[in-house]
Amino acid sequence: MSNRNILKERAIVNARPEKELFGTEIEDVVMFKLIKTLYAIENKWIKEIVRVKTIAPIPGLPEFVPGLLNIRGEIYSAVNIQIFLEHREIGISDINSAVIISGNGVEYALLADSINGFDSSENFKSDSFPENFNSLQREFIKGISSNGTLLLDGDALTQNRKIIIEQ
Amino acid sequence: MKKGLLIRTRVRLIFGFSIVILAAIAFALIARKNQTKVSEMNEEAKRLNEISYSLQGLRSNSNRLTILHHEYLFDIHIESEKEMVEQIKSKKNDIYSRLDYIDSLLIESNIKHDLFLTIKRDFMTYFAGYDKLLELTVQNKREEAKTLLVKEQQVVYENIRVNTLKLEEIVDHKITVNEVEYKRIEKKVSDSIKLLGFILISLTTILAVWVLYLLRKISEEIKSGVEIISKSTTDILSTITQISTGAAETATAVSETTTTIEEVRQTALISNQKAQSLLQSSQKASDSADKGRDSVHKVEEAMENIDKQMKLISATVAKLSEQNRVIADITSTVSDIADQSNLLAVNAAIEAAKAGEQGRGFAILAQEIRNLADQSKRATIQVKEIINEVNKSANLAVGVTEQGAHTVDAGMALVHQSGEVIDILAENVEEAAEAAIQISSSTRQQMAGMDQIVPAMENIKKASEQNSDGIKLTQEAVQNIHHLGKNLQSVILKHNL
Repeated sequence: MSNRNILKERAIVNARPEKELFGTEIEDVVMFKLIKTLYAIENKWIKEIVRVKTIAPIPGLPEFVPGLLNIRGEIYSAVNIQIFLEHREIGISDINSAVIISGNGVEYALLADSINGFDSSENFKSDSFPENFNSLQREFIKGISSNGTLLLDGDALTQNRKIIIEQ
Repeated sequence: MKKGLLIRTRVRLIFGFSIVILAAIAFALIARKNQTKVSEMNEEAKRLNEISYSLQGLRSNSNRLTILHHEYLFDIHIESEKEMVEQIKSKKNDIYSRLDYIDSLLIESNIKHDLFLTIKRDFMTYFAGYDKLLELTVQNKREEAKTLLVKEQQVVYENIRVNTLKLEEIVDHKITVNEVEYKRIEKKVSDSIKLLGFILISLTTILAVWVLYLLRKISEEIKSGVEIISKSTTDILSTITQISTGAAETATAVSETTTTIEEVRQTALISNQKAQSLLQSSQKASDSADKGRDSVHKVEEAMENIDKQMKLISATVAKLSEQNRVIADITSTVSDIADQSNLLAVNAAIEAAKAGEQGRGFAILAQEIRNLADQSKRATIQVKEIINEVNKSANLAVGVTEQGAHTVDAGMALVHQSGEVIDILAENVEEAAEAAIQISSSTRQQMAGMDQIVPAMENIKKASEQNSDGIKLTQEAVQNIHHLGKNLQSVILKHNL
């Protein structure tokens, strides 16, 4: 791609009106991607989003917990939600971010390949799950958008004993 | 063997002829001897006859003298006394000469001489008496003279007559004896001549038969020899004809060879010219090779310069690549910062969202920051892409420069090879030039050789022509020999030996 084209594309993006950039709807969910699937979670459950450089593996943990994260001195469990939801996908994961969930006295980190911006919770519908969803997915997913983004249920994530591991 | 045979034949012939000749000589000698003897006998007989005849003459003369004296003394009718005296004198001389003659014959005949001497003495007495008688006559004492004549002279005369007759008898006896002897000797001679003649004829016949046999034998040999000669001459003639044909062919071949030599000479001349032109071309080629060598040196230098520049380009591209890498690192850092800014913005936005309506302005700010971070991210991605493109180009450039370097190396090798090829070419050209010089000198020598060959061929031609003439002469000679053989054959047939 030539520089001229790059500059042209950039100019088109920058030339968009503010209204288009910042919509009137409230963007209350953050989207993140794991392999090919886009997940979303409401802002209120997010303590922080951090970059992940290293995951310290701990023996004896379930498969969906590949290890622990050290974020500025605090230790979080790293959870691969895809493995947890038994939603197997073919592909290579490039984990470099983690969404730290906080609520109901529980804090842990959901691993993500990339953070993909915000969306409004209104765009997610809870009545049209695909038939191939298993019980776990039906338990932890509370909505699905038109483009297939799965809205995770913050309450389930912070309260369901299936994901909460007692030490 | 043949020589020995010949010698033997010759000796035999000589021997045979010698015998015949000796026999003939002996025959001749004996004949001669007998002839001599016979002629001696003849001579003797002749002499004895002569003696007998002379004695008769003497008697007759003495009678005549006596008669003359009687006439002189007693005849009155003497016409001339002088003439009478002259007649007496001549008769007397006649008797003298006859006496001398008989004396000599008797000496020769070896007959008893005493009687003749008595006769001679009596004649002397007789003559003396007549001289006295004549003297008495002159003195006219005729009577005395007559007495003397009748008495004394008659006695002497009688003595002379008797003795002469005696002598005649002796001589006649001798003649008779001589005749008997002559006949005996004649018979003997005749017998011996017959015998010798028989021997001679026999020898001659034997010799003739032998010679005839020999001649027959020789003639047979000659005949066979002549036949061989005839056959040989026929063969020689055919051979000479072949030689003559060969000589003619040789002459033709010589002529053709001369023409060929002339053509070869022309070819050699052309070769020499070509060699000269090749020499010039070789010199030009040598000059071109020198120029080519210079060009190769220049190309080598240029190639070395290209190599250096290629290396420089390679180094520059490597440096560029390194700088690109640094830029990529920086871009990565920027991208990382953008990511972190993004995250921070997201966190800020979340916090703003948590703050509700109060946080709306902050949310917008956070959104703006996130947008900027996104833009930064995209920009870094684009920069990365650009850098990747640049890296690709740099790598391509590295590859191209490496290929260029390889190409330059290959070019260098090719140039070296070209130089070597040109060197080899130059050497070859020099060798070709030397070869051309050698060819030129060789062709010159060839031409000189050709120039020598041409007169030699002329000489050969002349010699061939002379040979041809000689062959013709030989042919004629052989023809003559052939004719001679034929003639000899006809001679042998004619004489039928």
